[in-house]
Amino acid sequence: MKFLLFLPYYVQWHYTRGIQDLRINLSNIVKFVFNYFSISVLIHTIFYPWRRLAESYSKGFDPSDFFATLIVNTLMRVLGFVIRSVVIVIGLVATILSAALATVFFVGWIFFPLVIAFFIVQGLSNLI
Amino acid sequence: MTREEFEKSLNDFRGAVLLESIVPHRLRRLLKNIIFVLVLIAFVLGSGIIVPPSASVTGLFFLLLSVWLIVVALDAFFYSIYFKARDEDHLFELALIVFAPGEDPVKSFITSPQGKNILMRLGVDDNTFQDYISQKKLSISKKDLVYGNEETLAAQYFNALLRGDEEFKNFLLIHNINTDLLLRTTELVFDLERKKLEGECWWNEDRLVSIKKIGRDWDYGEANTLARWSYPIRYSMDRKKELHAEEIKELETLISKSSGGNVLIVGEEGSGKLEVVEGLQRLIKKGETSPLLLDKKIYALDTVGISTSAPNKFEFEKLFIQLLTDTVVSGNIILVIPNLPALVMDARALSIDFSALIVPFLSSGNVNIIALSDQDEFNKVLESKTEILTHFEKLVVKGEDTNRVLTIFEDEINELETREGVIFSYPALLEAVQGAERYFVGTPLYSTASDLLLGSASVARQEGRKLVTKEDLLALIKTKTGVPTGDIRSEEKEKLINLESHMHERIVGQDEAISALSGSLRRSRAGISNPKRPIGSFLFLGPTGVGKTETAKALAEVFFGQDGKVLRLDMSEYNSPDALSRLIGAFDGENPGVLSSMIRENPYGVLLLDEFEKTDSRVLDLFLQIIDEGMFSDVLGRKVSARNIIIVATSNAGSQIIFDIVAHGGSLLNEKDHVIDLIVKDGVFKPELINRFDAVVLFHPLVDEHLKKVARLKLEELAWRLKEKGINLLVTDMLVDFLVSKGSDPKFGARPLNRAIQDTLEKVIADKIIAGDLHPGSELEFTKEDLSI
Repeated sequence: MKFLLFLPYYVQWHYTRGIQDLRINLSNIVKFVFNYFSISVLIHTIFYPWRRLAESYSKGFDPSDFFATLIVNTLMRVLGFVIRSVVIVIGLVATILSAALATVFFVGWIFFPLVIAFFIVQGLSNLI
Repeated sequence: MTREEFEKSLNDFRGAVLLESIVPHRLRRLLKNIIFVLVLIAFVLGSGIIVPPSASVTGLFFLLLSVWLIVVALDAFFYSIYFKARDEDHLFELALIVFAPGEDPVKSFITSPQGKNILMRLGVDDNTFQDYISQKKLSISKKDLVYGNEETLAAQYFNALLRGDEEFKNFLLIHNINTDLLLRTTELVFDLERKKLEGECWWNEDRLVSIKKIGRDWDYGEANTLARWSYPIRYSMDRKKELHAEEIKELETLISKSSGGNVLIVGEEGSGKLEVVEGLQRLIKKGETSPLLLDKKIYALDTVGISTSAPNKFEFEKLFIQLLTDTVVSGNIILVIPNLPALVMDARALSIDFSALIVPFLSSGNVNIIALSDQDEFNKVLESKTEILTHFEKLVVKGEDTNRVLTIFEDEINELETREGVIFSYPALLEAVQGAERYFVGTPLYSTASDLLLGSASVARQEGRKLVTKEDLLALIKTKTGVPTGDIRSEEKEKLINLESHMHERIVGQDEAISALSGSLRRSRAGISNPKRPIGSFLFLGPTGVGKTETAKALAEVFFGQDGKVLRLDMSEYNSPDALSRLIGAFDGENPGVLSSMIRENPYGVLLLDEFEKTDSRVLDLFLQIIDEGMFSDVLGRKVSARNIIIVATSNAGSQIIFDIVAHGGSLLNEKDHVIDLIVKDGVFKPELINRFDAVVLFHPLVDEHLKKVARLKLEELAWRLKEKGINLLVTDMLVDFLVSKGSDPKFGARPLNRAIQDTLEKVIADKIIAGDLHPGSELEFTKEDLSI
């Protein structure tokens, strides 16, 4: 059968280029998850005012004006800090999870024939 | 290269080709998706969330899961082999063709899915090549193929095929397909396949990178007004080859200046100015730019919207300043003004000095503005505004050439076909671009070719066809320009073969002239004349009234079909210093130029320049260029094409010499050079001008037998006119002789005949009609008495 002719090609690929490609693709995905949450950017800008909604200090020194502006600015920065921190945490968790899953897939790939055999056995034994 | 070497170089793909023959990719994808859904369902059912778990569902789940994993692995194998980078693209598709089952490689090519696709794209329909296969006599074997050393493996294979199977090669040639066309179409088809596959690979770095990330915007400000009056630049991520790679890099450099770079992009319409900006956006998205640009977003101003919603000075200024302020405040926006001259003009219409509005922002160093402008508009509107220009770096986008435009279309073909609901054959695409360049000179190549494609698509749709072929394009071009394109049909063929006799029906004598004209027309229509010159250019020399003008008119009527296609200029009217500007246009832009308009409106016909020697010398120089290159530029620098025109210049120069030669019984043909030398010596025409004409034709004076023929022709015209009044004029020999004696003077050729007819014949006829002697139905034969009056 053609499939038997085909098998050697496949097996050779699976354990050479296949592993390489898998490694690259999986690391791309994990990197993507990390970048999706812009974690490094968020850490850098963690205390920036939220969406640049800040007031500038007026010339001269008027105590009530000064403190009003100070309070607004501080609030905006706190808001920014809170939102960013939440996202950073979520992002880190997502990244770790995806890295873990990637590792599982990688191992699964190496033991692919065994995995498949296992699933088939499981399937058949449950059906019968 | 030998056959073994060739097949060896495609060895990498054998496994994948084998897989395709077992379970083709499309089927695998379908299976993958179906089974995945089933796995999910089994999982949900089996996990006990909705219904209590059962062993059989769990078993099913595991089995399905294993099948799914196997299919996924097979596809991974396929993608990996397909996308591995190699020296040459599309080797996998080539391998599919090369390793296709069957002994006869041509037959297996034609019947393979790839082959069918390629042949369809070449404009050959299914029935035609089914017929070909069933009638195929010659059968070759793979072993017989002889490979050469062409650059690409694809070229080697197809050349080997065509070398090996003459019948196939001829079959293709009949359909106007040569090797080059075959290879290019194959490349296009493979490209489309590849794009489809790339679209499936969501895990590729390119695709992932383009997904919008969270949080990037959070330290940039809101830009409300800007959001309302601008839109993000539209671009597509999958441009394999950047058409304007150098310009894009240059744009990036110019814009990345730390103190706010502003760039003015100048180029012809359709040259791709916006494309360059899109290319920059792609670079930014892929993260391949300098850090300064990494998070920038490119927005284009809706200048039309702004102008319409801010109808007075105050509103406009306020809106515009707010827009620019928003840009500064948000900090990560590159603003594109799609048509700067138009904006300046709109502002001027409201008495606003645009410079005063924009310069403060430009000089602040806090904005990045990319402005676009056409070359013409730049010259007219912006060049003088140095206060604005100093703040912009200028980037010129080179004009289009056919190859670039063709590549753009190859890229866009998917979108185009989806929008229009048709499929374009590759020859149709080629013809659109080449036709636009050849027949629509002076228009932006890309948009003209685009219009041609869309027009043909609409015709095909109306006729219920899916495939747009080269013939559709040619028909559309013919409709639009009047220039006959495509194969020569039978009635045209008859006309072309018998041009001389048709023309002799109107012209008496002058065999040399008629022969020269006919030859030129035949050459042009057969497609072997130089396409970069007018169809023909002739200088008719000779005495007045012998048929020079008449010949040109006869040509127009016989060949171009309507007398109206004679574009006549009396060059004696153009001998003042302003003649040139009257012809090609005055600088104030109000007068488009007689000659330019004439030729633009009638690109196919006879341009008759009477009394050519009487015109201003600068006009003569203009025609020097037109005859040489078939093109000239009007005052605004726009090109006008005279490449589908026959130029006939007439002149009385040398008439005296001609009379003398004929009087002494000499042959005009032999003495032609002598006549021309004398004309040059007299300074009538420059030698380089005379040399440029395809032919200088001497018209001989009319002698008695000619005059008799002309007289007879004119009498027959008179008779025809009288027939409309119901009067039957008998044209007798006596009448003819009378006319010749009355109305001939060799010096004036046949013109006096007209006067003779008017003064004598028509006068008599008019008197008789008024007196009531002639009425509808009567017959008129002139008697000697009538004529002696």
